[in-house]
Amino acid sequence: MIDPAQFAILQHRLAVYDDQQAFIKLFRHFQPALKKFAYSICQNREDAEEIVEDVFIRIWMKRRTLDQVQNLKLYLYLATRNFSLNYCRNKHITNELNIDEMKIEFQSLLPDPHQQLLSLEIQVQIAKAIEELPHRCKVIFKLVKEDGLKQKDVAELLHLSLKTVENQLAIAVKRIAMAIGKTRITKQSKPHNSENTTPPPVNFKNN
Amino acid sequence: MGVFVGFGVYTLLLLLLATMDGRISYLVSKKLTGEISEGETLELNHLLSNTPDLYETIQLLELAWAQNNYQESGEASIESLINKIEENSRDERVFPLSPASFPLKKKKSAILWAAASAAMLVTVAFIWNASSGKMADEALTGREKPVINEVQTKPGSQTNIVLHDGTKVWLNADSKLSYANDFNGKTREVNLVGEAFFDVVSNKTKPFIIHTSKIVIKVTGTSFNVRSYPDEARVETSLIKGKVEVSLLSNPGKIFYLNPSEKLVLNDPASEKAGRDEIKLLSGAVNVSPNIPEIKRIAYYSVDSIPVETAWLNHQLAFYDESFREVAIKMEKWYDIKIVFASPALENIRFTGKFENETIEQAFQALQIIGRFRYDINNKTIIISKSNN
Repeated sequence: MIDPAQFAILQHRLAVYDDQQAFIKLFRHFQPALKKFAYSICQNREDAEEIVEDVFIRIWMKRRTLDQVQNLKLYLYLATRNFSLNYCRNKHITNELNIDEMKIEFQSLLPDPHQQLLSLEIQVQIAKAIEELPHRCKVIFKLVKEDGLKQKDVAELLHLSLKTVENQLAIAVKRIAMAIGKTRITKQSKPHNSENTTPPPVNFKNN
Repeated sequence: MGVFVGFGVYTLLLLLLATMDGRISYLVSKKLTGEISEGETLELNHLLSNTPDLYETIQLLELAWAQNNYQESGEASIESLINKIEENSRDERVFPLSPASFPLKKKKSAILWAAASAAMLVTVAFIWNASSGKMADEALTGREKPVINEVQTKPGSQTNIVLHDGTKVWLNADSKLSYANDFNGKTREVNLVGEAFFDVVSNKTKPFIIHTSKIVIKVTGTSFNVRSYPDEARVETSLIKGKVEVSLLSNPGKIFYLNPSEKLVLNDPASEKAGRDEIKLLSGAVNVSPNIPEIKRIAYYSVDSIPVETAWLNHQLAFYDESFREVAIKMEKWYDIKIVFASPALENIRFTGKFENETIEQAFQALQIIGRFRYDINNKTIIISKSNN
């Protein structure tokens, strides 16, 4: 993991000194998330991999102008979005970003039994609540929570107003809070039935 | 959503959650994304203060938020990316991937990075201004004849410029750079009076040429420093990285090639009254006739320090085994002062050192530790004379 404060330094080293190590660090850091994002648009894993490589080839070629980029993360996501759409266009799929057709996969919704602070039950309920979010809400939630993008960046990336993004995220937060609250009450009322029980099987696949 | 079946104790909380108003959700989501302001934090705490259950729920939500974010890193294969870059970069500097090439470069780039980091803080802001200005220029002139731009710095100040091709130029005090608005010709040419550090964007088909009053420097893509003040005897070209070709106006046929960490020093006593003894001292031994340049190593104070030649980028005034006369000329530009030697003998005291945030007085006091002299400050003029005791 790279400390976000380091991005600016890596970006600068790449821009001014052709620092290949900085370049590789940035690639290694962003590649997994960008690949998922590209996949959500082009919906083909090999294409997604290639798109992210193309984005970084462009970054290398244009590294001298990189000092002018104020928000590298958003820049990379915008480039990935555009490259993915171009890719689609070449394959005659679609012309513009259609949020409703984006395929969202969460990094991992599987509850983590090693997590000490959250009970398995709560984790299962959260996963379920997220899975049941309306599609648009889920897309926004994913980009904010997993990718760590700011709400205004998500708005720019998806061509939505900031208000829409904020409202959708608030809906997601409320639903997850409800799921947690529900689980806590159930637990409180049945104190003997807790940590040792196996969680009910949950289907995490996309429908 | 599913149907909740609730009884007794927990119906109350469910009701509470169901009515968790939009404002709370909004504030909580801002808190989670780290975009919440101080005022909003206070507001949220106030809203939650009466509902401990909801408060605990939100704490759990915060814990959950911190889970399952992207952590995977390092498994991405870089080979295919590197191969593609090399295929793509026929006119570009090739991406040297062999692991051996990394550590070699590391040290130098670290030094260089240190040298430029301070200056860059200013540059980033400047680039934005420069590029928006450039756009306006293009719109106005409609891309006709190249406009000649001139950037000039006063004594005591520095600036930086980004040229049309992306080349970055740091301009030291009392210097002037003129250049065409765009580089549409076969070459990219600029004129320099004074001192500048160039970080030239690579373009093998369009060499970058710097004209000074005594030398011409031709490069394709490198970082180097040029010092060529009209009132100084010495003209220096110091190469940090890449390759440069230097030719003298007095002898254009002969081309000198520099390697990284080398500098070309041209002494021309005609421009200033630099004595012959000094040239001897500089060259180390051999009797060098004026106008024959020497190639020397760039001077470092210590292994991990920045080169003396580019210290000014770091807002340091540095000199390495230089005469008081030379130091005085540098200080005049740096501090925007005039230095007069009442006793010529003092001009030959030699100094090595650097100043960063020192005031004029502090600087002279530091020099007094090495050389015995007296200074009197009279407005912007400093008079150097023999010490009485």
